[in-house]
Formats: sequence, structure tokens, C-alpha cells
Amino acid sequence: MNSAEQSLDQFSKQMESKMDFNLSYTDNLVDLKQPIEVVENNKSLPDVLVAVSMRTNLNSVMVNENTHLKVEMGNSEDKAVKVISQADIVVKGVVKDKSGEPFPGVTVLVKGTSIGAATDLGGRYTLTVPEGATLVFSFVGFTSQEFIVGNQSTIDVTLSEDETALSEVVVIGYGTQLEREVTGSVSTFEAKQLQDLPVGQFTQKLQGRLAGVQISQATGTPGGGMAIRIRGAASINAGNNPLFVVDGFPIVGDINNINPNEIESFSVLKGASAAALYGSRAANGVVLITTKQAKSGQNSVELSVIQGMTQVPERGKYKLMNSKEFLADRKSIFEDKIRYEGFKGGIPEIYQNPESWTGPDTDWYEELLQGGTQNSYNLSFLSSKDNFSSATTLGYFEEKGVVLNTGFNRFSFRTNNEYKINENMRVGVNVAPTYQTSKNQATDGYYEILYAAIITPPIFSPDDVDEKGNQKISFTGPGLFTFPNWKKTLLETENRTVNLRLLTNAYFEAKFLSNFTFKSSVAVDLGASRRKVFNSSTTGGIFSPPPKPATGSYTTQTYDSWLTENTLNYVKTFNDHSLDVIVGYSAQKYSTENNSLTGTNYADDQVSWIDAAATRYGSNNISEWSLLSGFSRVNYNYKGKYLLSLSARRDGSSRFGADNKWGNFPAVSAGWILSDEGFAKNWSIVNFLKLRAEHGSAGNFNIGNYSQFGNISSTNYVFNNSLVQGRSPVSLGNSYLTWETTVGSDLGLDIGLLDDRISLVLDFYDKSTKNMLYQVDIPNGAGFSNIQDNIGEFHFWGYEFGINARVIQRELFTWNSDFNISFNRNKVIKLGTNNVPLGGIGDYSSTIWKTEVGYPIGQFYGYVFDGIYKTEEEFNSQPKHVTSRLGTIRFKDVNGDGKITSDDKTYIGNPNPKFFFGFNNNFIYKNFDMNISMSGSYGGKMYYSISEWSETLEGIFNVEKYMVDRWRSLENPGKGIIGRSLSGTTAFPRTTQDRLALDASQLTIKNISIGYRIPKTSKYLKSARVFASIQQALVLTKYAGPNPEASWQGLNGLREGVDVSPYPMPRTYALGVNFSF
Amino acid sequence: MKNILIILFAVIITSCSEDFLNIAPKSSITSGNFYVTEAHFDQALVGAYASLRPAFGNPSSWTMGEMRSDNTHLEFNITNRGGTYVEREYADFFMDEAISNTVAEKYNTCYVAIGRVNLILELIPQSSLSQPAKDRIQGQASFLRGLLYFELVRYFGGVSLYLAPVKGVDDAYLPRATTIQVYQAIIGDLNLAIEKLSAPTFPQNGQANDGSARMLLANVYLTLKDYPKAEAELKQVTGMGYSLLNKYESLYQLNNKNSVESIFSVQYQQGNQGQQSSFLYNFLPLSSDVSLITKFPSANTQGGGWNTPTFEMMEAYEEGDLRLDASIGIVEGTGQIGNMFIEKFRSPVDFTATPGKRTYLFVKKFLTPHSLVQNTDDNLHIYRFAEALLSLAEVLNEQGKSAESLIYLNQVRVRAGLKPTTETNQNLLREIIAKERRVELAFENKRWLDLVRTGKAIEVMNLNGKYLKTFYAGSSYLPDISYKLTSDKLLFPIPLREIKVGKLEQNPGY
Repeated sequence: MNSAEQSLDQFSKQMESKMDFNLSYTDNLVDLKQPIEVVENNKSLPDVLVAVSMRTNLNSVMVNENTHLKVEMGNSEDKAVKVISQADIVVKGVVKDKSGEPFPGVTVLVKGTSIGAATDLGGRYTLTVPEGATLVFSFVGFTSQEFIVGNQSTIDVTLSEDETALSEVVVIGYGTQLEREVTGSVSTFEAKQLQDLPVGQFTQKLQGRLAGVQISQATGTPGGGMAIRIRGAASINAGNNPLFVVDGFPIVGDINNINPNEIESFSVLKGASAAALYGSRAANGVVLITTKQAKSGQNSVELSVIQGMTQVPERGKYKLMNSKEFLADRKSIFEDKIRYEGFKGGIPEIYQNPESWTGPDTDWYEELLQGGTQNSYNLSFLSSKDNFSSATTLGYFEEKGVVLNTGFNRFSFRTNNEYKINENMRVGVNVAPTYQTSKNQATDGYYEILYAAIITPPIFSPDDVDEKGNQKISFTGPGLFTFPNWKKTLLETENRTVNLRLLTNAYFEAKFLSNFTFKSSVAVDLGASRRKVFNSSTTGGIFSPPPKPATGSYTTQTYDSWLTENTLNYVKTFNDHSLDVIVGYSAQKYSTENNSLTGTNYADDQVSWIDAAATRYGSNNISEWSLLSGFSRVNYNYKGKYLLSLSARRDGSSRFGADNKWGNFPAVSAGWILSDEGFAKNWSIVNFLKLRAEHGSAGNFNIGNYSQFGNISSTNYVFNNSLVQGRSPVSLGNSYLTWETTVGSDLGLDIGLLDDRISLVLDFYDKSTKNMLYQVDIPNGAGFSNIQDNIGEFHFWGYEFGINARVIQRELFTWNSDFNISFNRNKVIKLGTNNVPLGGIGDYSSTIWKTEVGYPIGQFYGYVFDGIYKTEEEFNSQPKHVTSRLGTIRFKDVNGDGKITSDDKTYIGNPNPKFFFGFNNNFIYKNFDMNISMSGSYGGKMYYSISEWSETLEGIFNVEKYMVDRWRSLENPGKGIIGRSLSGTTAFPRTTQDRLALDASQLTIKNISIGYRIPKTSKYLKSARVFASIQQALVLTKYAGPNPEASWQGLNGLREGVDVSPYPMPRTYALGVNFSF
Repeated sequence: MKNILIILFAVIITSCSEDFLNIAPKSSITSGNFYVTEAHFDQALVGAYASLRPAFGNPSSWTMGEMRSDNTHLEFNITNRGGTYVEREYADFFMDEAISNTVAEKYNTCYVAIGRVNLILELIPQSSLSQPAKDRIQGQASFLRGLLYFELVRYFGGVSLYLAPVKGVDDAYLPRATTIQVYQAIIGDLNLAIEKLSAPTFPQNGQANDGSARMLLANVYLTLKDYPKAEAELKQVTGMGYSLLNKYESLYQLNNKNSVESIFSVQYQQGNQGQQSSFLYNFLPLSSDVSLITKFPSANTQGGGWNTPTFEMMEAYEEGDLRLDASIGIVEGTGQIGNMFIEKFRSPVDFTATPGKRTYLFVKKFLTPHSLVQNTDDNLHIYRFAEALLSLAEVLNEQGKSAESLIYLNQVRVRAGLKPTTETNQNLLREIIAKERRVELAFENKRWLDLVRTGKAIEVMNLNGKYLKTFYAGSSYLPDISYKLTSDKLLFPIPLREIKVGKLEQNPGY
């Protein structure tokens, strides 16, 4: 180091480039222009710094940051020279990490002084210290270690990672905060812990990871099917999805086309105050996603490849009757028809000799499945040098579905770049285009293919041919429904979607007047999707077997969403007070244009485009909303242990009525770090204890765009044999419409035990959603069946508990474990003007839910099964339905009026689990690591709705094996569960009943992965790791169907827990490698 | 700088906010800027007419108007056990319950139409339209509301009487009115319509006129058994230029839509514009090939097999009645119910079934040339001149003017190729007129309401039940409890949702 006369600024730059560390200054306090002359050849870093401080009015202080030194104004009494003069021992040593690699950049500081050094690239340090001094070795993210210097001159140290890391910085809304100072209820998660999971969506990876966040995979549809719900949030009409914010941009489009590998971390804002800064959109919680940025000094290329095979596990696969059972069952139905109904047609020949059947024996569920694949490739370039940092990720994910003719592909690209214009100004641009294609058949839903194909008789085979030798397109037999050839339908139906998306944002940040930071950003989300569907004449559904004229549709949607945002941040610490204030405003606008074309009456199947259709319909429309917001937050703490946060947001939205355009969302939260108090000094077990409380309000604005208006739509008619254009009102407007407001409180404890080896988080919350956006059912006499109004109130409360333990921390073996459990409860307080319950009117499981004041929302509602009328005596003496007969199913006469009517329906189950949990374990032994993650739920019910068809008594479908034990006669009454097949009595047994509301408690081993870190083999390869992973490894449940998480309507709140045989959840066996160059 | 920024925020947030936040729909219009000009009111009126299609043309209409009666039945399809199908069967078998969506469909669609009319009727008096324009629109709207409430009161009894548009939750709940109150409202509307509307001009265009309103009013009086008033209105109708077409069969030909015989009909048009009807396809058998009937490659795999004329109905036509062949078609073939293989398309005249073949009777009135599946051109007759004549014959006979009655009755008979009747005994003539109405207006959704109106429903339908149970004995799908008709079943149930949501009182027996 040789410095002739030069400015401090020049000097420091020179020092940085030569010594490979950074020098930083407290803003604007240091006069960089002051001249300095240092001639100190081959001196260590502290020596140079001491020299600097002697020549300037500055003092050097090591701070807790990687290769960062801070030069601060010193006062004259505290010159470093004084320290130097006491030095009499030279200490040297090497700092290594746990794997034995040299650890550069570690700060070595003499405790209580400003003498310090940083380790070089070889992990080496040299320091001259006073005898008896204590050395502190520290590095961000690692546990600091202290050594008393005796008379030894060599101190080698191994640093290990600090798992609890309360010193870590947490992303909160519009900024970051030290984790220990966070007062709101926030869960965070680092994405790198999830890298081994062979799945395409980040929500799949987060299952079971976060307390209070319920994520379920209702269907295995490639690229879809995830539902997320924070703290039981539910609304009647306004949805319960949280707000997703990517790099500060609240996004509107699909979240599933974000490549999980682009993500650095998640923060989930759960509490009323934590989320409140997002105002009218935050009532369901907020998920903040931060994408990868290059770290300071990083310069690496990372490659990860995962290749997997998928298959549908055996457990829960539908197993209905086989051919012989089926034929025998058909035969017995005809026997009963003849015996009881005077049927004269005789038993059809095909059913007469079931035992001698030699034809097909098809398992139709199995026929539609295939072995799939899941491959994922990601290549990242991360570089941060001088003033420029850049992180670029290229990703390709492909999935061949486990159902025939389904699959998903995603090409993604993201580049995050930041440029420092000077010490006070920086600009950044993030650009992330994705291109995604999917082939998804209409597999999910009521009576869709996986529901309907199952009940196809096994006596037909997809390969059956007709008289002309052509593959059959449909099947039927005596007394049977007509079934399409499902396999042919699945293979020949075209249903593909292409999505193109560009998510981008740019920002400018300037620091000024030492305490102020101004940030201005613009974000744009552009999306375009097109979907083409063609159902050829040989394909069909259960109610529309082929042949029928081909139909097609072509739908396009484009949207653009932009946001501008300006914030001003003021940070000031004086004495024991610390203040962080932000004010900002933002404007966001979303616009979508939709085109839809449908074609029917195609002449043939040759051309699938709409041009070939004889009849065509089209529609074309636009829909928009805008949101204007101002917001502010003050974070204050005193001595770092009394914490207070106040925030407010004011939102104006185009979605709300002219009379209620603006709303305010204030929040307050406070924290007290008890462990910092004097009385905590002698606590031996508890090393950290923070009490948090928050209170705030947030809104939900998802009511659709124009609900405030009474809409008039085109309604044409014919006069004089020619079209005349008309219009008619299709909805009632309501100019008073406004957002739902959720007001809530949270009480939480953060606890660190045994020097943070165990950390605990406990939360209790209580919130009420008022002014619920609600389509109030009104009498149809009004000309409309409902009106949108803000009437309705739900009450939610619950507990969350999380524990994270470093169970074993040995040199060669570590075991980390975390567990979380959540209890969510709710109750309906008010519904509409008359408290008229929602639902509970229909007979079948598609309308099974009822939401009523005084009860939890979305309960199953139906009859109570009470056996069958086994004897004449039972039949004559007990309450009956109008269609009841001897031998038919009996329901309970709940209201005791002596007959069974729809008034006897009652609550038969709650689809919401009593609690749900996640349990994750991570083991490291030498170079091996293993991770097991589990999630589960207890106490929720699932309605096995396929029974509506698989328990039919008409003999038209294939049925469950136990249907053979139905009532046949007084002598042969069966097992008392299934009634007789008498005509006119068979509809009622299919109505919703408690017998089919099954326990869906489950424990799922979501993922097991085992990895091996290859010892360094080449100087070009920084690290390499291979791993094997099983996703959806094991599902432990008593539930009869394949997927205990199935839910026709996802985590809808009002309509959960009905299994309509969704796309099966595959098990994935994957192998992967990660290289870092 | 800080101050500047804060001022900047304040300026931006306040100055552009109102414009930025006021977004009205661009691809549709809203109630706020509608109902202003004459064009708007004409469009609204067209919208009200369009709502007649669901109210009168949906499956609930033939289910409740014909299948409920002795005219038609259904082809019992064991494989069709969905709720919609079962509800139609139950309506036919007199086993229907308040939960039925089929019945709710009639109720709801009538009220949707009434809601549209109410808006027009409330807003037009204060509008700036010329008096003739106001009269034209008000007259037609009043007619439509009368027509819709007449439909509701006959099927459901005294329903809630909404005579003003509902603006919000507060005015949405109305209790049931009495039957008399509903009829008073209907008569009030129709008198206003008669006052405002002018006489029909030919060719007609499908809009209501003075003749439509008087015919409807006459039907109301006939239902209320106010024969003199009915006679007065009907006499007016006979002098307006209406006449019978020469041939009964030509009534349903496409070139005779809105002919001189039509008094009011719901309009449809085949093609690509969403204006088509598709009645035929509900009435054809389920089959993967119905081209023998439709004359172009076509399948009917969804929604067929309903509203099938009974053999007893076929036999109700007198020997030589030309209406039989125009009204009923027969197909023969093989294959099970749900997928008939159609071999022959036959006439019901002098029909004897081919041994070993399945016979299927269907309503032929809606079989007209078309080229796309589920896309036909047929209008739906609400009133036609033959009904005016038969109604006049009835009101005259009821007043003891049998001889005069015969004049009108025989016009209809002669056109059908039958001999004039000379019966003047009031009771016997009443039977003849009733039978004449049955065959003349067959499958036009009149029969059930006629049976109720004339007090014959219980007797006729219990007999019909016995007939059907014997006829279909071998296939055993009619439960014992079917066709046990009591006076409670003369009205349909108020839909369950309305009972629950609107806290309405249910009709007895449901």
C-alpha cells in the first residue's frame, strides 16, 4: 500500500481494489476530498487504517458485514494510535467454514476496541493485540465466536452458520426491517431451502412450511391446482386469495407462471398490521416475493438440472366392479325387476351368465393414466462487481402429465440488474418474460372425464371395434347409459393454452441530506394468452356421447397492468431513539381485453379452426380497474427494545360506488424485547423474548369491475322475420358499494432458547370481516336473483405455533427440525338484511354447502343416514320419504314431524380441518444431506361425491364393489347400507348424506430428498451436489379417494371439500444436480 | 426538496384522482345512461320481448303445460337420472316438489321479463318521448306484463305482485298477493294496453297490438268465467281482420309465421344470430341419427324423448281429422331407449305398428325445414285465431247461446276436414268444444291450463294415470304414488328458494 498525496476518496478506492474489500462511510459525514498521504508498504489492513485515522480526523470501526469497513468520525481522545501503543502480541490464524474451506472476509475485532482485521482469500489474518484481549470473529449469518488471547500467537477458528439469525433482515411491505425489530406477524422463508423439490410452482414448495398459511393441492393438473389461504380468510364473493407482490409490485395475473428458481425469498404478511399497508387488497394477507439479486462480490454461474418420473400412486385409486361382478350385479337388478315390478322383458342375454364372460375387463381409471415426466433446467449467472450487479436466470420446466394428452411447459427468463450511478444514486431494471404452453383436458369438475369415465362398465374396452373394424367411439348395452370411448376422447380432444407474460420493473433511488432516500419505480405486467379447444365429432362427454357435430372455441385474453410508485424514506438514529419513516403514493391500472370465438356445426373433423364451422359466435370486451393510493409508516424504537410501528393507507378505487370511492386503513403494532431488560440478565434458558401486539384494518376489493353499475347488455329479438337489437338490464347497480374491511388484532411471542438453538413463535389472532361484499339473495320476483351489497360479517380467530430447533450441532452431523401448527376458527355473524342462509337448498353434492349465522362458514348440509327399512314392521312404523319403500334407504327424521322431507336436512360435516401442520427435518452428515418435509391436516371432512354415480341403483353405470350387498328381499337384506333397486325409489338415496362426508385427515410426506456434495474437484467448479428426491412420497389417510386435499372449489372458504375426482396427484421420483462455477 | 416532493404528491394525488378512478364499462352500457331516448325505450322493449322466449319457450313450458296433462307423456329413459330429467318426470307424474328447478324456471323467467317491463313502465311517463311513442311502448309493455302475470297466476296462484322496478334490497321483498289482486292487476294492464294500442295490420310483425291485448283479456275473463265480458272482447277480435288459414297444416309452415291467423306468438329465427328455436329436438327420440326426420345429417343425443303424444291422444282425433297428420309424427326403429336406430318415418293416419319395432310418437308441429342441429325457425303460438273462435264458441255456449256458438265452433271443424256439429245441448256441446280445443290447440301448451280452468283436471288425469300404468305395465317405471292427483296439485309449488329467501307462503300440499 503506497499512497502519495491523494484524496481520501482516491485512496479508499485504491485500497479496495488492492485488498479486495470494501470501504464504506457514513453518508456525507466524511469529507472525501480531504488530502491524505500514507506510505505504509506491506502493512496489514488495520495498520493502514490506523495510519489513516492518524492523518485524518477519522476512526475505523469494524462492523458486522462482509468485507465492509466503516470509517467514522472519531473524537480526539479516542485515537486509534492509543490502542496501537498498547499492542504487544501479534496473533495469526486461519478461519475456516464447517466444510474446512478457508473463509475470507471474516471480521476479527479486539473486543471493546476498534482494532480489527478482515481475513484474506486464504482465510488468514494477522493482528497486533494487547495481551489478555478478547478476539471476536464474526460474519453475517454466522455465529460469532470469542477467544481470549493468552500467550498463544495462533488462533484458528471454524465458524458455523447462525440458524436463528435474528440479525437477519426481513422484507416487509415497502422496505425491510431487522427481524428482531419486526412487530407485525410476518413469516419468512428462503427459497434455497426448497431447491430439491421437483415441482413447477412455488406454492407447491411452500406447502407445510409456514404457520398460518394453508396451501393445498386440490388437483394435480400440470401447472395448476394450488390454493392458498392465510389465516382462514374467507369472503362470500370477493375471494380469499392473498395479494402477491413481486419485487414490490402487486401483481394481478397468474402467479403460477413464475419460475420458482427465480425467487430468493418469501415474506408472508399475516397480521392485520403487517398487511395493512397494502390497504384495500390486503384483507386476505400478502405474500411478498423477492427475486434473486447478485450478492456483493458474487461472481458465479449456477446450473441445476432435475429430471423426474411421475406416476399415480396405487393408494386411493378407484376400484369399481370388475366385469364378472358387474355382469352379476346387472343380472340381479333384472331379477329384482321381474320379481317386484312385473317386468316382462326378461334378463338380457349378456347378463345371463356372468361367470362365463370372456370379454374385456377394463379398469377405466387406469386406462386414462400414463407414466409422466417432470424435468427442470435452470441456469443462473450472478455477478456483482464495481457499480454493477446482475442476476440472470434461464429456466425450462416441462411436465408430461399422468393423464393422457396433458402436459405443461414453461420457458422463463429473468434478469435483475442494478447500477450504482454514484454513492447516493442507483437505478435498477428487472425484466422477466415467460412463455408457457399447456395441454389440459377438461379433467376436473362435476361429471368431467375423470369423474364420468370411472363409472363406465368394465365390459367395454377402449380398443373395441365396430362391425366395420373401426375403433368404437361409444359403448352401450341393455339398460346402460351410453358412454363415450373416453380414451379416444382424451386423445383426440385438442385443448391447448399458450401464455406469454412479461413482468418488468425499473426503479431509481437517491439518497440525500444523509437521512433521506427517495425511490421512484414503475412496474408493468403484460400478459397474453390464447386457448384453442376442438372437440371432434368422435369425442364426447357423459351427457353427450359421440357422434355429434364437432365444436370448437378460440379464446384470447390480453391484459396490461402498470404501477407507478414514489416513496420517501427518512431514517434517523439519535441517542437511544431510532426512527424509520416512509411516505409514498402509488397509482395502478389494470386493463384486460377478451375475445372469444366459438364454432359449432363443423362439416367434419378435418379442419379444427373456427373458419370451418358453419355456426360461429363471437364476443369481444374490455374490463378495467384503477387504484390510487397514498401511504405512510413510522417505525420507531427506543433502545432497540421498545418497538412501535404506525401505518396508514388511503386507497381510492374505480371498483367502488361513487358514494364510497375512498377508504382509510390504519394500523398500529408494538413490540417489547423483554430479554433485553435488566431482569432478564440472569435468565439461563431464555436468551430472547419478544412480545408483539398489533391491530389494524385491511380491505378486500375483489368484487369484479363494474358491480356498482346496473349493467345493460344486448338482448336481441326478431320482428318482421329480421333481427332487431335490444337491450336489457342484467344486474342491479349499487352506488354505495365499497370494500370489505377486515379489522384484526394479533398477539405474538418470539422466543429464543438455549442461545437460539430453539426458537419459538406463538401467535393468536382475532379478526372480523365487515361490510362483506355479498350478493344478497333477493326474491326472484324482483327480476334479479341477487344484488351486490356490503352486508355480512364473519368472525375469524386462531392460533399458530412454530418451533425451529437445531437439535444436533456437531462437527460431522447436524439435525435441524421445524414444526408448525395452525388452528383456524370462524363463525358467521351476519348475512344480508334478513340473515338468509347461503345454500343448503339443493339435493346433490354440487350444492352441499350451507353458510348460516351462528355457524362456521361452508358446512356440509344434508340428510343423516339411518340404515334401511329392513322389515315391514320398520317400514310401517317409521318416518318415510314420499318415495320410500320396504328395503330402501332411511334417513333420520331430524325435525320429528313423522315424515322425511327436505326439512330434515342438517349439518353433516365441516370441511375445514381442526388444525393443519407442517414438519420438516434436515440432516447433514459429512457431505451427505437429507431433507424430509411433511404436511398434514386433521379433522376436516371430504364429501365423496363420486358416490352420486358410483352408488347408483338403476343399473346404468358401473358401481362400487360394496353395491352387491344391497337389499334384495326380506330374507336377503344385505348389509344395511345400500337399499334396493326398485324403480321410483332410486333417486333419493343419491342425495347428500352424512355417510359420505368422510374424514379427510391426512399426513403427507411431501418430499424426501437426499443429497451429496461432491468434494472440490476442479478449480473452475466452486461446488457440485447431486441429489435424489421423491415428491408426494406417501399419503397417510383414511379417506377413500385418491387425494385427501381434493376440493372442487379449492380453498374457497364457502365451498370446500367436495371431491369430484380431480386430476390425480402424481408421485415424482427425481434425480438432480446443482453445479456452481 | 422534501417539501417539494410532498407538494408534488399532494398535487398528483388530488388533481388526477377523480378522472383516474372513474371507469365505466366500455363494452356495455349501464342503467345510468340508458332509458333516455326513444331508441333506448325501443331497445328496452325488444329486450322485454326477448325475455318471452325463456318464459314461454323453455322446457318448463311444455313440461307444465302439456306433459302435466293427458296430451303427452315421455319416453322413460332409465339412464337419464339427472335432476333435470327426474324433475320433468315428477311434474308429469304429479310427484313434483318445491325443490324442482323445472318449476322454478317458469317462475323465475316470468319475473325476469316482468322486471324488464316494470322499468319501462315506470320510466316512460317521465321521459321526453312524443305521446305516440309513449303510447306505443307503454301499450306493448302493459300487454306483456299482463301476459306474464296471467301465466304466473294460473300456474302458481296469487304470486307476489311487483308492479314497480326493484331498486335495491329494501323494496325486493313482497308477500304473496291474492289471486284476485293479481287478476285485477292483469285486467288493469290489459285495459291500458287496449287503450294505447292500435288494431293489427297485416302482414304482422310479431309485436303486440290491440287484437293481442283483447284476446288475452278475453282469455282472462274466460278463466274467471266472466262470459259476457269475454264475449265482448272476442267479438271485437273477430272483426279485426284475422281469419283461419285454409289448411291447418300450413299454420306451422315457415311462410305463415305471423299470418292472418296469428294473434300473438313468440318469435324465433334460425341462423347464426342466436335467435333460433329448437323445440323439435326435445321432442325427437334420442338417436345418433335423426336425418330421416330432419332431412340432413343430424344426431339428437341430448335432451330428446320428451313431450311424447300418448296413443290415447292420437286416438282422440276423429276419423278424417286433417290435424292428426299435421300434429303428430311416428318413427319406428330398433335400439334401446336412449339410442334409437330410426328406420321409418310414418304418418299416424290409419297407423298400425310394425311387429318387432319400437314405435315413437312425436310432436310434428315444430318439424320445419332447417339445416343445423338444434337450430330451427319455428315461432311459438301464444294466441291464434282458432282459439279466439273456440273461446267464443265456449262463452256463447256457457251463456246458453248454443246455436250462435256452433257458428264459430264449426269454422274450426270444417277447416280440419270434419263435419259441422249440430249439437245444441249445452252440456254435450261443452264436451265437444273442450275436445275440439284439445286437438286444435294440441302441443301448444294449453291443455293443462284448460283442464284446470274447466275443472276437469282431477278426473281426467287420474284416469290418464290408470291408462298409462296399464299401457306401460311391462316397463314398470311408474311408481304407485304417481298420478294420485288431488286439488292441491292444480297449482305448482312456489320454488323452494323463494320460500326460503323471500319467506313466501307455500301452496297447500307442497
